[in-house]
This record gives sequence, C-alpha cells and structure tokens, in this order.
Amino acid sequence: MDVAKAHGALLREHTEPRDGAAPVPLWLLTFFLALAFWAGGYLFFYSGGFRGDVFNENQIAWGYTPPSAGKAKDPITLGKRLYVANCASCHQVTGLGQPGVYPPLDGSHFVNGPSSRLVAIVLNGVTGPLKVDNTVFNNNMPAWKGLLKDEQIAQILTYVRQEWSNQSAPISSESVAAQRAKWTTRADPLTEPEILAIPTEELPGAASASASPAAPAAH
Amino acid sequence: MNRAASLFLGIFLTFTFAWVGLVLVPYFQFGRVTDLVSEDTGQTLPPPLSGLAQRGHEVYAAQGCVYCHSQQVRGETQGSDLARGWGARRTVARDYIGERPHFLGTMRTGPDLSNIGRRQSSAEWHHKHLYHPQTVSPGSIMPAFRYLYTLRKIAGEPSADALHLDGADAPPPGWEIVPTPDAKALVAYLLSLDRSYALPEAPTD
Amino acid sequence: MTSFPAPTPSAQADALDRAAIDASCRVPVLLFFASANFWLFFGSIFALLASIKLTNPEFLTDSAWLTFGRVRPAHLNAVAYGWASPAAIGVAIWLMARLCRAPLRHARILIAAALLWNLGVAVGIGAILAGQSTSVEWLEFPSYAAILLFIGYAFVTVWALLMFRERRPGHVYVSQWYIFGALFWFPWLYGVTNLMLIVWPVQGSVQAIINWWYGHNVLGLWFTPIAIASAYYMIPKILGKPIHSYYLSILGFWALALFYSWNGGHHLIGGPIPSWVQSASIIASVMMLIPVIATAINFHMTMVGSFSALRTSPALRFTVFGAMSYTIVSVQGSSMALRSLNKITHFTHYTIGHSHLGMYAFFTMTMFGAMYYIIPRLVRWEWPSAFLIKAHFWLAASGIAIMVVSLTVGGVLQGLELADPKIPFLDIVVRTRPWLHARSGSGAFLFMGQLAFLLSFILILLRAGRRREGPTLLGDAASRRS
Ligand code: HEC
Ligand code: HEC
Repeated sequence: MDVAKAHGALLREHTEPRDGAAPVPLWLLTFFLALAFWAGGYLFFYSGGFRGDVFNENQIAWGYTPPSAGKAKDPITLGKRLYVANCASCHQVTGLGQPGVYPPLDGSHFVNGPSSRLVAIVLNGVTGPLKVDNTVFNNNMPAWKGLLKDEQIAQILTYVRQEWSNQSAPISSESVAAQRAKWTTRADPLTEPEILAIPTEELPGAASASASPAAPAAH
Repeated sequence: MNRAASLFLGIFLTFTFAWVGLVLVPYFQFGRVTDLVSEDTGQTLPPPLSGLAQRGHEVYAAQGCVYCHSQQVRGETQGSDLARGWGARRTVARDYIGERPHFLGTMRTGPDLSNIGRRQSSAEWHHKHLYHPQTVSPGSIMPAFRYLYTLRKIAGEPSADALHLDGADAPPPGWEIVPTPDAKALVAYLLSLDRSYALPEAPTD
Repeated sequence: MTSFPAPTPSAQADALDRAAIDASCRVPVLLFFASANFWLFFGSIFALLASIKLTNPEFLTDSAWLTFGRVRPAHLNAVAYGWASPAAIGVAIWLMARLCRAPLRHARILIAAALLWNLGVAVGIGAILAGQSTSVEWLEFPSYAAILLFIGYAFVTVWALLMFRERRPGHVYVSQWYIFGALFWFPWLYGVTNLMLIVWPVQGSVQAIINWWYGHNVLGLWFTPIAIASAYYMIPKILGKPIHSYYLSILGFWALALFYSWNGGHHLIGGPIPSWVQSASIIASVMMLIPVIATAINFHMTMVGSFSALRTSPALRFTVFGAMSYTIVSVQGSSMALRSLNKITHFTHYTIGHSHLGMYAFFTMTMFGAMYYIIPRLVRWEWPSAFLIKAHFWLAASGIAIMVVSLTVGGVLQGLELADPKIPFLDIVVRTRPWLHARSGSGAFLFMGQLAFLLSFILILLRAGRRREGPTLLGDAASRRS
C-alpha cells in the first residue's frame, strides 16, 4: 500500500508521544507538604470525633465538646425561634410579608388589635379577602390548632406583638386555651366578616401575663 | 511505568480505599440507625409514611420535583435555612430512614420542602399551587402540573374535592376540575413532610 | 517546521503500521463517534427545552412527558451516557490501539458493546420521559436500562484487557494508565452504586452519600481520565515534542486516583451526614490541587514555545482549550468544597455553571479536539471545511464562556440573597431570571457550534469536497501539522 496516497496525515505525523525527564519542582513539593499539614489540622478540628451522630462540624473538636449554648427560657427568644420555624416562610423574618401574597404582621391592626381576634386567626387560619394595612389580600392561611400548643402560640404571638414596630401587650397561654375551647368544632378557616364579628374584649390572662411576661403558663 | 501488574494493583487499591472509607464505613456506622419512640408523646420518630403518602413519594420522583427542591435543613453555621423558617432544627440521618429513593436534592430553585407539611398544611392550597403556581405565588417559575388534574362534567352533586379556581382557570359552568389519584397522593406526601420533632442528636431548642 | 521531511524507510514502515491500526479501528470507533453525535444533538435539544422552561414555566407545561422534572434528567443522561461516554470510549479505543502499537482485534466485541450501550441509553431516556425515572441524580435510568449499559461497558473493559495483552512490548505511556484506570473504575462504580441504590437500596442518607460518590466519580474517574489521556496524547503528538516530565505524570495520576475517589461527600455539605464524612471529602477536594497543578505544569511546559501551533491545528486548539479549562474548573471545585464558600454557592446556579465548565469547556472540548485528529485518519479524508471548524470553535468557546459567567455571577448573587433571611424567596426567584435568560442564549451558541461540527462530521463521512493533499488548517499554513 502506498501510504502517501492512502493518507497524507499518517506521513505528516510525529512518532508516538514520549516522556521527558524534568524533575518535579521543589516549590511544588513544598506546597504539597503545606497542604497535607492543613489537611491534618482540618480533620482534627472538624471531624466531629468521627462519630456517626455528630452532624455539626464544630460540635466536637479536639476531643472537646463545647457546652450546648445555655438553653433559652426567655419567652421572647422562644417565641422568636417558633416564629421563624413556623411563620417566617410566609410572613418573613422582617414581619413585612410578601406584597400581594402574604400580609404583613408588622403594624397590622389584627396583630395589635384585640387578642381574641388574633388568637382566633392563628388557631383557625384565614381565607378569602382580608384587608391589612389598607391592602386587600385574598389568600389562605392554614389553621395552626393541630400543630402548635397553647403555650407555643402564646410565645409566638407575644413575640410578634412586641417585635418590629409593634408594641402591644403579651398574650398568655390561658387566653389561647380559652379561645381554643371556643373553636374546637370549627374545621374551616375564618373569613374577614367572621373575624370582625368576634367580641373585642380582652381575654382573661392577658393582663396578668403582661405583669410577668416571663412566667410560663402551666397547663 | 512498564509493570502492568503494579499499575493494576494501584488502580484497584486506591479505589477500594475510597469505597471502604466513603461507602462501607458510613453504611455500617449510621446506615442502620432505627426509628425511636418519643418519651414525651409516644410517637414513632420519624413517623412512618401512610400508604397514600408513600404513593405520593413515587409521584414526586416521577415528576422530578427533586431537581428544584431540596429536602435537607442545614445547621446554623451553614447558611440561612433555619433563619428562613425552613425547619425548627437541622435534619440528620435518622430523618430519612424510610426514604427510598432519598430526595435530599442539590438545587433550590424552589424552597426547601423538608417541613412543607407544617408550614403549609392546607391541601386546598397545595392543589391550587400545583395546578397553577403563579396564581398563589406570582412570579414563580415552578411549572404547572395541570396534567395531574382532570376536567370533567359534574354529574349530580359536585365532587367534594373539586378545586375552587377563579379567573381564567375556572372550569366552564357545569364542569369541575378534580385531582387525579396521583395528585391526591402527592399532596398527602407533601402534607406528611414535617421534621420538626426533636431527636436526641438534633434537639429543637 | 514549514515542511515535513521526505519519508525515510523507517518512517515509511511506521506509517504503514499506523495505517493498519487506523484501518482496524475504523468501524468500532466511528460507530461510537456517530452515536455520540446523535445523542449530543438530542441531549442539547432537551437542554434548550429545560433552560427555556426555567424562565418561561408555561412553555410546553401541559405535557407530562416534557415537564421540567423529566426534560432536565433526560438532558443530563443524554449528554452523559449518550454523548460523553461513547465519545470517551471511541477515543479510548483508538488511543489504546495506537499506544499498544497493534491493530485492533475482536472488533465484534466493541460493536456489540456499542449496540447494547446505545439501546440502553434509548430505553433509559424513554423511561425518564415516561415517568419511570429512579429520581436518583446521575442514575435516573431504571435497572432494566442500566443493565444494558453495564453489560455493554463490561464488553469494552474485556476488550481493553485483550488488547493490552496483544501490545507490542515496551513502555506503557501515561495515557494508557488513565485509560486503564477509567475502564476499570467505571464498571465497578456503576455496578456497585446501581446495586446499592436502585436494586437493593440502602437506608436513608447513606443513599445520598453513595449517590454523590457516584456523581462525582463518574466525572473524576471516568470522563476526566479519558480527557486527560487524550490531552497527554494529542499535545506531544501534534507538537512532536516529548511530554515535559514523566515524574509529574506519575504524581498527577496517582494523586488523582487517591483523592478524586474521596470527593463525593462535598455535594452534601451541611446535609444530614456526619461531619467527618463531609470533612474527609472537603480535604480530598482541596488535595485535588496536587494532581491538577502537576498535570497543568506538565501540559504547559510542553506547550511552551509552541503556542503558535494553536493558530493552525484544530485538534490542538480544542484540546488545549480543554486542558486549560481543566485547571480552572478543578481549582474552582476545590474552593467550592470549603464550608465557608459552599454555604453561599450550594443549591444555586453557581454549581450548574461549575458542572458545565467541567463537562463542556473541559471534557467536551477535549473530545472534539480528539475527534478532529482521529476521524480524518479513520476515513482517510481531510476535514472538508476550515470555516466550519472555525465556526464550531468560536461558537463553542464564546457560548460556554457566556454560560459559565452568567451562571456564576447569577449564582453568587442568588446565594448571597438566600443567605440573607430578610429577602423573601420569591424576590430571589424573580431576580435570578435574567441570568437564566442569558444561559438559554449561550445554549443556543453551543447548539449552533455543534451543528457546524455535525455537518463537518457528516461531510467527512461522505468524503465530500475535493481531495486535499494537506491537513485542513485554521490559520495560514505557517505550520502544517494537523
Ligand atoms: C403558608 C403561609 C403562612 C404561614 C406559614 C403563616 N401565615 Fe399567617 N397568613 C397567611 C396568609 C396568606 C394570610 C392572609 C389570608 C387571607 O388573605 O385571607 C395570613 C394572615 C395572618 C394574619 C392576619 C393578617 C395580618 O397580617 O395580620 C395573622 C395575624 C397571621 N397570619 C399570623 C400568622 C402566624 C402567627 C403564623 C405562624 C404561626 C402564620 N401566620 C403563619 C399565610 C401564612
Ligand atoms: C422548575 C423548578 C420547579 C419544579 C420542577 C418544581 N418546583 Fe415547586 N417551586 C418552585 C419555585 C420557584 C417555588 C417558589 C415559588 C412558589 O411558591 O411557586 C416552588 C414552590 C413550591 C412549594 C411551596 C413552598 C413554600 O415554601 O411555600 C411547594 C409545596 C412545591 N413547590 C412543590 C413542588 C412539587 C410537589 C413539585 C413536583 C411535582 C415541584 N414543586 C416542582 C420551583 C419548582
């Protein structure tokens, strides 16, 4: 076979690749040693003691377990934590909500208004047109009765009523319990007219709680 | 390097090292954790999925929800997951023991769904959202899953589970839009997603 | 370098050997290349659909088969198993035959492998679109499709072992180490992960570890080694120089084998897996700097003094573009594994930018380079049009650059906003959209570039155009190496 005719590319080709023998540069080896040193340190600090039930990287370092941060018992702190975990995905941590979708809690007259209505809203949820801050929202909020205990609702609402620009009285778990008793048979979320029809008298317990906000209600 | 044998041995050993370290050791160390019974409530944790929710888990897989939604809540030091209200605590291995396949996900084109059943406990909302996400979340880029619903003529009484839609989505008079069994199962699964219970390795306070 | 010397008798004999090797490779290699291009075309259509759907959710939304959650995995699987793997197998076969200096035998094993493999891909993609995906990222094919891939691949590995036994004795060149590693690692990886995730799924978040151990290794221990093997062959071959340092080759290879296989856990940082698993993977990811720098120096030092060849040789230009992208994407990857950066970039489009930098700018460009070199030798015909090659290069290079920049910038902004709980989620969704539009545009560039390549490919198979005596070069023929 005449290779040149068969395909010129084969003749133009260089021989198959060969190796050169340049040494590995010294700076490179030094750099690798430094990396290995770093790696050792990293494993030392962030390996969680090689345990299968330690997930936070800083929980156990150097054979030392940091004491778990003092458990917060202050109701505002507890309320904030519960608020973030349950309400913030819609009403946002800023309490400003999402325009057109989720109403604000900051400055809302429902939040700062009669506690009977506020508690009823949270227990049962809301549906249909709802006017907050002169804007009409038309959406749904699911009921929280089945998910949150009286004490938790009280903590959340106390936090909500005193956070951002809100400055209203705290809400006690007795007042939540009293409202819950009134709504036990209610399955559907409330509508605006129903909310506005709820008597506005402050529930028992609101005043006592404002005297000593830190007292967790027993039930 | 001319010794084929040492080449093959090296290729074999490096890979075995990683396989043992990254697959077998985790499998034996925490791949067999079990559920436990809560001392406070007597509840099994994590709660097992109902049959319908289990079916919804399959629908979730078939529709590829995992490409836009994660189901893992990272701890305080890794991002704002907790601060956004996506969970009451970080999630840990025990939370997933019933999941096959796992839906941890790698993208958050949409929000994390580890606890969606808690923060959005209304089936009605989920159906509306799946049917036409933009009506409840303006600007959303989540696709509509209208093919999980059927339009049918009302025969006698309207169905209890018909969607209450308005505007352009409303069915013509005399017709109703109802979820298919797939849609119902999917929503049952979404509602079951609540990992806010405390575990020994993941306390909530 | 202006003209090649008249063939000496021994060069003549060498060339005859090579002609025999190339002729023996023709059918199987072209079969893998043709199917690769077929799937690249469809994979890219799926990509464009998915990308448009992300900005226009109403687009084709009423078809279950074309919902985003199916089109996106169809894209990934079509390009990973339809395009990238057959392209890699084709390149590996040819390199093996050339480096064993022996004509390819047992071509029937390879043809059977190609048929099984492509059947598996077709069945798998059909299954995804029909809603039978396993929903395990990178392993979406249900087991009845996966088994076809596995058997097809096993044939390739067996063939490679047979081929290696028939090699002409002598030095085993670095490209062959990588090819052997890859051909051995992939079937093990694919088999074990399918068994532990799809057939007998293990429990809970251990699945996630295995899932990402696979997801990362398929890049690091399958696509990457083949692309590096190709670059290790093409660069010295086209330049006619030895590779800079044998010692750096050794360091690069063994460090890659040791560290890449431990990287998987960095996809789960902050996730529900114990801290030590995450930390081990983070360390391995950072240690990847060792093989990457070693390989980069090796390529760079070989290129030094010969950069002008990039102006003319298409194969070299694509290969060097790929090799440089390898360095960039790997350094980026090491940095993304650090907890402090990962907490911003995790779950955002930044990761998507990173994976395209790896799979396209590095792997795919290197494969194009190899094909530009190999195909004319197999069909004994030169590329019909330099214009098409140039169009391919510039569309691909600019397309991938726009894509990576928009996803990277968009992803960082998305990540920073997600990190601030005061910014509502929906606002972030809306603000990320323009970056996704840019990505769709860049995808169109890539697609047009691939069409130019497809056209060249079809024309050269048809031996279209006039017979050329010299290679098809890009610039003025200052150098005539192709
Ligand atoms: C799934 C999203 C969502 C979650 C979670 C949520 N809400 Fe709502 N909330 C809404 C919507 C929507 C409305 C308005 C309903 C309407 O338009 O009819 C609303 C209304 C309210 C209102 C009355 C209107 C206002 O702005 O003052 C209050 C008070 C309220 N929510 C408190 C809470 C509290 C407390 C929590 C946490 C326990 C919470 N919400 C969790 C969606 C949500
Ligand atoms: C293209 C990406 C995408 C896909 C695919 C997708 N989603 Fe979404 N999803 C989003 C986005 C973006 C949002 C946020 C805006 C909104 O509420 O629609 C969202 C929101 C949600 C929410 C509300 C979360 C919250 O915190 O309020 C739920 C529930 C949900 N998706 C479920 C699903 C299910 C179930 C599927 C699969 C059937 C799915 N999604 C598929 C993008 C997606």
